[in-house]
Amino acid sequence: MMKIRIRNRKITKSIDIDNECKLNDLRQFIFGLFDNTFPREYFFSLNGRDPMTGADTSTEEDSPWNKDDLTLKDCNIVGGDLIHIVSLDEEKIPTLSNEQDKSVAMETDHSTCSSSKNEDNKPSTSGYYGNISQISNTENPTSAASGFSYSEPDVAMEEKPVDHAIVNKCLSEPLLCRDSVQGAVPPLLVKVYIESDVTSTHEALVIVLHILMLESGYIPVQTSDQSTASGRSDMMNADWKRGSPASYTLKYTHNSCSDTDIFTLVCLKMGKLLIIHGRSPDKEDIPLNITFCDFIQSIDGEINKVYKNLPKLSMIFKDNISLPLLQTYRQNHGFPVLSGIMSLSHEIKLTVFSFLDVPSTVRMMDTCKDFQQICKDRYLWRRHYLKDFGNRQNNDLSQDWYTIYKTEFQLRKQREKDRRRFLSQMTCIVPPVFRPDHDPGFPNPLPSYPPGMIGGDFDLFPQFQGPGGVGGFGGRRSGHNPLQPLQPRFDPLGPGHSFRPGRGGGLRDNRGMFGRIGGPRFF
Amino acid sequence: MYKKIVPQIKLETYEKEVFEIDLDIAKKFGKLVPVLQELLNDDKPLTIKTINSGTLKKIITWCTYHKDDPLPPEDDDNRMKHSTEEVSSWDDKFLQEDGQAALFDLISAAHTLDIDGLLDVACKVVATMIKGKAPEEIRKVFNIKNDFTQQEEDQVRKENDWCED
Repeated sequence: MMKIRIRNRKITKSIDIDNECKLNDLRQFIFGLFDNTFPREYFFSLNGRDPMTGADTSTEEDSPWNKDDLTLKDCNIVGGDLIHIVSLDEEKIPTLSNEQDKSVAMETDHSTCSSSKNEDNKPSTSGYYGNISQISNTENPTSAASGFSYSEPDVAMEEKPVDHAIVNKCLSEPLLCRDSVQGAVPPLLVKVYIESDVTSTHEALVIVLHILMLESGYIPVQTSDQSTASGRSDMMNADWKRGSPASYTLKYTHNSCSDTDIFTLVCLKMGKLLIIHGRSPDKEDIPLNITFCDFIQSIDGEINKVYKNLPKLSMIFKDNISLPLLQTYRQNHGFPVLSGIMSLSHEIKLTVFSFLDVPSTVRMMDTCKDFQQICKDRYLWRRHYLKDFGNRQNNDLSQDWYTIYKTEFQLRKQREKDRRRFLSQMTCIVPPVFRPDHDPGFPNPLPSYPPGMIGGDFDLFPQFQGPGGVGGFGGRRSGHNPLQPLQPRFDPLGPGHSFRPGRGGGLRDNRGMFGRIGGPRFF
Repeated sequence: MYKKIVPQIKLETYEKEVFEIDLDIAKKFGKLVPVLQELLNDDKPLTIKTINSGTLKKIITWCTYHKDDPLPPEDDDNRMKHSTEEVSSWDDKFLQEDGQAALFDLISAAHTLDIDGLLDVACKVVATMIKGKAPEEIRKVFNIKNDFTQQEEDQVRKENDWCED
């Protein structure tokens, strides 16, 4: 066991820990030790700037920050050492980092003895002898350290009090582009914007798109020297500007996909437009056009004045490019869908479709196999049937209501067609009859017929010929005549599908269209 | 002066953020209400891992706005009428302002929390987005992958042209 000190911003705490403890365990151990200023992403450092690395120099190159499986011993940490926590969450505000430098300087009399020594060690520590020398080196400070580890108070009192203005400013910064209001820009965007040396409006726009990709969980593809040089993994791939100023190419992988599957974002400049092509590893291409002036104000001023309408851009981009790209990839590889309409559970999809009208439901069936299945749901079609045509003798849910509805619909459509053809022949022969009970809001389906001629009375007394002139065409059983397909009565189908059963159904016959005596029975 | 103490319940989201919700707002949470009332005296929040903070914030906003709405009618007749009511313009704007991904998150969350009114109105908004569009347009809007082969698609189209004029 040994005692080491951990410093986050200006607060120092000392902890007891085993020197075989891995950095990963240390992260867990100190989580919750500090207040809400504790960063979400950070690395450990001995001097407050550079990440601390293992004794083995080869690991240094492929790890931008700390290797989590290194033990404290590997990093030459000994009792009494001061370890800085360097946040990766946001761009350090200049004034703050100056203060930090000062405080680091104040600390140096204690910490340099171990950190500078460790740095000196690095070149020589390789192989077996290196390890020996390391151990022998660690001996001395341990004995010396036990002294100042107690002389230092747990919370460094000599430091300036917390500047609440800075803390509040950092805490009020939006985390995501969608939360951005009135020029407040997410710190990640500020950082990438400053570091990537923006020279034109379209570059500024491409950078936001990059941030939105990161927000959607994509990881930029980076060359190994790029990640060691900057120590950051949230920058664009090194060659993103290669096609500049006409085009920019961004490359990503995603957490949930294999590392070799690359998503590409190609941004082409076309006058006032930026044409974006999102390409999935399966070579599917999703295009999107964005107008510069909708989202960029000017790149000359402060970063807060560069962008506008960020939440809207975030919404458009995520809905059209970043999430669909991932979704098509996941679908192609048989993963469950994470977002969008396909991610809803079966019952919610059903609820949504229950609000659709018949033509929309049918068209929905044409979109994909899943929806074809759901849209044929018996319950949905029974509801449509009952609403449009009234009840049947057998209203059991176990029937194929989709087919029943379809058959019924086609039948009615055919009869409507016949009726129209017949009416066009009839109107010139039969004089119109005044109907006092005629509802002016509803077109009388058979303006020439006396009320109740066919349907109620006609069905009850088939021999009865109405007072109109219809008799001239012969009785209803007179073999082939134009009235034949119309018996017992036409369906007063209105235009479209909004027709209600029962309208114009004879003399208040409320048994519905197909319950009528003498009517054709289809089922 | 006496201050009225509003009982609150605590919900923890996916991001481990704890929200305190007034009970009169949480009464919208349908079947969840009895569970929440039991937790009322408990200090431990109810964790709902399937809901993220952004969505819960939206849900609280919606419930606060609709706090004084009458409860949906129990009998079937009125329920039918209720379900054909139009979506108010406030709801429409509120549900669509954050884009599709957020809307579908909200629908799933409303389903989890059993907020009938919100689920209803959100599903209607989605239905309006579908209505009157051709299959190809629907696929584009919702990014649905067409998994029919050309042959299958022709077949389906032929079968389904019965309701087109």
